[in-house]
Amino acid sequence: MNAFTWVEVTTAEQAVAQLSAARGGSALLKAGGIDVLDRLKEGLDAPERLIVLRRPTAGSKSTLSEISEIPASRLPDSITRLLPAGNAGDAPQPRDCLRIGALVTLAQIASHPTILRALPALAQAAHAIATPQIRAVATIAGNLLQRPRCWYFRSADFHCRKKGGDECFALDGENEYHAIFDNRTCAAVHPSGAAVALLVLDAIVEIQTASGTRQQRLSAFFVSASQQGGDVKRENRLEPGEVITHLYIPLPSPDERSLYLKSKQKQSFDWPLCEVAISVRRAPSGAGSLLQAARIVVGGVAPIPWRAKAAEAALLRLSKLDIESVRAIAQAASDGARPLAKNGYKVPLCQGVVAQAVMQILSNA
Amino acid sequence: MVAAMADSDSGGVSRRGFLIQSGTGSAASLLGAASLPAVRSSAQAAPAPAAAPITEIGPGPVPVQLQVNGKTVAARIEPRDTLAHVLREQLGLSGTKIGCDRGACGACTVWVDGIPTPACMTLALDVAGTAGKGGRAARPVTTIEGLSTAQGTLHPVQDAFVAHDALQCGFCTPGMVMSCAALYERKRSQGQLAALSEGEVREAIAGNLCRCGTYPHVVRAMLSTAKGTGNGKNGGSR
Ligand SMILES: Cc1cc2nc3c(=O)[nH]c(=O)nc-3n(C[C@H](O)[C@H](O)[C@H](O)COP(=O)(O)OP(=O)(O)OC[C@H]3O[C@@H](n4cnc5c(N)ncnc54)[C@H](O)[C@@H]3O)c2cc1C
Ligand code: SF4
Ligand code: FES
Ligand code: FES
Repeated sequence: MNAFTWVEVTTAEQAVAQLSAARGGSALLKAGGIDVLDRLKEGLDAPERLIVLRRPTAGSKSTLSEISEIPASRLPDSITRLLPAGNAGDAPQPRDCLRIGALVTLAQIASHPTILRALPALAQAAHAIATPQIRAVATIAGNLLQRPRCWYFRSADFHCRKKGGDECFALDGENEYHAIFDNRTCAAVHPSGAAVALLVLDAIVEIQTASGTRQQRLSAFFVSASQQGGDVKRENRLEPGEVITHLYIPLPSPDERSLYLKSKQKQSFDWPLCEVAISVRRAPSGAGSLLQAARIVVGGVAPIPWRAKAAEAALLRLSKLDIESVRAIAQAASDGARPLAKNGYKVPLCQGVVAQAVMQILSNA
Repeated sequence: MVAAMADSDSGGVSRRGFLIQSGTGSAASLLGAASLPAVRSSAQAAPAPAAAPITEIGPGPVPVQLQVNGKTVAARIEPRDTLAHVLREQLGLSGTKIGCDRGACGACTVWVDGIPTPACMTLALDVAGTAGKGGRAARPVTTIEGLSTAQGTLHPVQDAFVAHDALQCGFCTPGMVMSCAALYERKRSQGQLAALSEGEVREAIAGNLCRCGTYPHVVRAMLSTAKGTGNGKNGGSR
């Protein structure tokens, strides 16, 4: 690990100012530090200044480390306008939201009563991440922004595309944990489990910039190399020097459900081979189909959390739960998959976790 | 605030010089170490009144205080030093082990504020107290050495590990015990110790890898000590 100056700040404004004041770009932000320490120890990053965003010490409060319910009436317009519309074509309706500060830990999220009750996919995802020790320290924003775990990327010996080189070592190399979708430029899978859940919950991310704050839907935040505005060296649309401050999640109505499942190699903690979050909204009885809204996002299969749109469409057409329809939804979940030499198993695995999620959520819905 | 930092960086503003001096002064009186400037601060400019001042430390070694096993101790650390490294190499507390050094094995588990934490993925400055304006109090750290009393009385979980053969080579054991004892203390403080379940124990040790495969013995040790049966001398009441 290189020597660096420790610069401790307690607000997002201070963090942004410090990041942009650093000349030559050699400043790195640390929250919980789990990903940052890994990168520093491997020599992947060698900042002159480590900008340490901390919760203020006892006495002062900061929304950065709080979870709070914001009633629709007090929700800022900048958030309201990004909420999902009740029905297609409608203007977004103000909704009660949960606001989660960037420094809130995964352990806080996994045990928060409102999240456990109303946003189970998020509680389950947070709980499934890493170990109890890591969850006590790791923050939600850090989880969304951690860099990929591709072993070539994580080794200083491989100057791959993601680091500005011109080769992807995984494409013809050891790619058993790599992407099956959108994998021709860089096949590293997106590492964040929390992102998978937050995406089916229509989360909105709030970002501190040098000139103020901006808000955007999380669904437009992650971007792969092949997508418009994509850059293989980055995984999202956070600009250099910007800092995430909060997430806003609309609280579901009584006819909405969500859940998260993770498939892994080891019984105790492990990175996912494949993970899935699903949210559904029941249709009124007599509507013909079972659901009026459905969202399925799969993790561990693509450079970004992967929205399984064909499976969502098949799920929305569902009029009764039987094995044939579940099989069709599962098949649709792997639409467009192009596995590499060693990760073909992820195609049936992805189908399997989606089938399991669909059956589980419909039997409780 | 950027301007304030830049000014003080150029050395033109005396406020920073003053803060460095006061920082060193109090560090010296606290630690008896009157050497490098400890903490440099620059006050946050208006209009964000709630913000604490920005603190700059290092990159060279600085004197700090750590609060370990109930005692305040002085150390000289660089910002890049991990807590695991400082505990072992400076404070001689080698009970905390370093296995993977990447947060993946749990051998380095200590308590910070009473919560099991990976000491290899914690920078010592994250828990250290710094002197001077903008300084802050150290956060309490408990290592395996702090679990038993100075008189050598073991924690009930340690007794149970002995009684149930819950270790073989012992490398994972300090971390395993710290995870288990945190669960034990949490359940005890809730008055729920007797209701401890196997699932809760497995959950608590999910981040502690044991190459010798002692898990079933660890679970048995925990369950029996929680129920106050089959452990050593201090069963359940300490
Ligand atoms: C053994 C192990 C197993 C793991 N398993 C999983 C798993 O199964 N699933 C999973 O999702 N993760 C897993 N992780 C990864 C872990 O969850 C992340 O490393 C952690 O959540 C990062 O959070 P942090 O607060 O420590 O981030 P940091 O390391 O502090 O930061 C991570 C990145 O985000 C940036 N950043 C942090 N906060 C902000 C902010 N507010 N604004 C702008 N930038 C910011 C930092 O600059 C840095 O680039 C595992 C890690 C380990 C060690
Ligand atoms: S998959 Fe991406 S991160 Fe891994 S070697 Fe290829 S370009 Fe690099
Ligand atoms: S040494 Fe810290 S978790 Fe392995
Ligand atoms: S006792 Fe040997 S590693 Fe656990």
